[in-house]
Amino acid sequence: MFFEAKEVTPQTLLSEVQQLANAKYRFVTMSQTVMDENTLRLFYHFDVNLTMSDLRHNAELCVWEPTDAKGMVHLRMDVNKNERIPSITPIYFCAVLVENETQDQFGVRFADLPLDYEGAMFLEGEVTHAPYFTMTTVRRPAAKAEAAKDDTAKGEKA
Amino acid sequence: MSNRTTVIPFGPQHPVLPEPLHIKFVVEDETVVGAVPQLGFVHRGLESLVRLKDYNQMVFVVERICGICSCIHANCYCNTIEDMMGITAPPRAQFLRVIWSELHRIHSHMLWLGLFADAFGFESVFQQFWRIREHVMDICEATAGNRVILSVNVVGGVRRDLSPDQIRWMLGRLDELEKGMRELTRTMLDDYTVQERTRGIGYLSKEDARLLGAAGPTLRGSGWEIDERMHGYAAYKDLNFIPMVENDGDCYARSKVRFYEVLHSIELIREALNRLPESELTVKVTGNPEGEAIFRVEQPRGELFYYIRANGTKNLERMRVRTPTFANVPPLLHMLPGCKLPDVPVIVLSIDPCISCTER
Amino acid sequence: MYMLPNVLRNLSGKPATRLYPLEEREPFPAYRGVITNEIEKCIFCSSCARVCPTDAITVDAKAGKWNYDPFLCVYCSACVEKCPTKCLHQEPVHRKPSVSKFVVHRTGTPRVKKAKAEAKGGEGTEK
Repeated sequence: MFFEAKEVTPQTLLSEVQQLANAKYRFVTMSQTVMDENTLRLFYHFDVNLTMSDLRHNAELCVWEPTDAKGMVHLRMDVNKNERIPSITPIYFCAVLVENETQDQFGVRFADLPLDYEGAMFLEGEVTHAPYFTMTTVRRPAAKAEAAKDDTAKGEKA
Repeated sequence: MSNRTTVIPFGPQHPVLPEPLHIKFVVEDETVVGAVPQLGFVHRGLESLVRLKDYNQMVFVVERICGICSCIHANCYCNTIEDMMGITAPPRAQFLRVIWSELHRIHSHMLWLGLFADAFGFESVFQQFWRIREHVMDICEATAGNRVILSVNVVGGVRRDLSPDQIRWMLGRLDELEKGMRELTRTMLDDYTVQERTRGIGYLSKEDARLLGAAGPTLRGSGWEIDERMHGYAAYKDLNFIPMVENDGDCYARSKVRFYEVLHSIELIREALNRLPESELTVKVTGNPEGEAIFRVEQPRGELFYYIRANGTKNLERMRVRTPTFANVPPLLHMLPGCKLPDVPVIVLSIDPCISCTER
Repeated sequence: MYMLPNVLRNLSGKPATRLYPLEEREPFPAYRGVITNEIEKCIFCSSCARVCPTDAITVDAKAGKWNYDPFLCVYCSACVEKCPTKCLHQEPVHRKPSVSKFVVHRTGTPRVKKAKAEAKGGEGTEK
């Protein structure tokens, strides 16, 4: 379903999230997408408690409407990849895993994470830069020209 | 840290741990004081395959994120793409998707019930649960083609149909399954040893469950009545669905939630089979998706969340999957301090970890 | 204690497993197994190669070659449903285990373009 997102800046992020925490919202996740070379767009998704008593009294909440995100609130934030992003872990501790994953996969850093793996949560400590693999070519003594052609073809494909 | 503490690694390989998760326990004389997790043993980078495969081939990739809940991943992905392109699957396809999703839920919960019994050493119950789970596996193989990775969902509908003979046969097998489950009710829920090992262990209060972002039976075992099937996607709005909720917040409550969900799923499948409407199976899909969309479905382990961004070409731009075990790991880290070392496998299993989902 | 009748019944009954490979179960007819191609009907349109999620099928339309790798294939049957002439069939048995990987090659007659054939025929009648 499509969704409407509210625009926030790194300075207003923590106050917005605090308001949602006081209004009993549940943190679902944070989505990341790359807009261009230096900008990363982050979406914060929150959900409010959808209880069965609401469904029994308000029958229209039962109907599936694809264009309406009932009960969910989304915040959108565009950040520069080089600056430190404020972390929402003081309010929602469960964000610690998502923010560590973002650090690993997109190469950004968050400010004051209580459990900071510094880019080593999914990856090993010695892997520090992309590409995350090493490629070697094997040269056989006979038919060297064909081997060279094959290796360059594989290198272009990979 | 006083000098009575030891650090014990609970490795990715452990006889009682079903998933490759690494936790370092800080232990003081048999009581766990702290826990630090380490993930990343099965990270395959499946989200980056969207650059290479087009959006129809991605259905098969998405199914293989997890083996136990594969049909539901495909269901969520297809629903997101269909919402983005503005098409709805026909009614018969919606009902068939519900039937296969509920079959997956049954098989996942029964697998978990067996592993949970194994965690406190009750191996006869473990094998008995897996013996009656074979009924579900045979139904999946006879109707959809494979035991676990069903491959029946496509963008626009489903690929296989159920004939009246198959429906009669399925109802017979479901009866045997229910009989087997009801035989084990008293063993799993009323036995003295089971209750001693699970009551009061791994307590998660209602407010903590909300703040720590728990999902699925972990949340429903602490008193929240939240289940994504209440939103009414696929054919759930036409079926009598009730979420199973317990208020205690410990391992016993979570296992009760899952046990009753199996019985409720069997009823849902029977109702859906009796009310299958007649229509075609797929809708023709033309063009490419464009825009951003999200979708949430209920996996056996909790709330599955998909965020997809597409730009009009046949490859998607970004696909973000948030699986429920990813959301259940912080509550696990909160539940562990304060318990005794022999209770650790029971607590780790009670959130139903699925690490291949967590690190897709 | 509640488990005792169940345990006694399991002890006295026959086991739930079968002695595979000495006895095999009858395969379900809807099972997705090995893919075979009736190469006489194939028109080498490459639809199967385009749909395959693992690139297990490669088609050379000009030379009339159809290659299939049964060890890359995930048996999803997307190619079987996409084939316009229905020359791809799926048997309900899984591929047999093997100690080395191989690729299945099939050669058929590539389709001749109709315009060229008509031009040749036209030239023939003109002459």
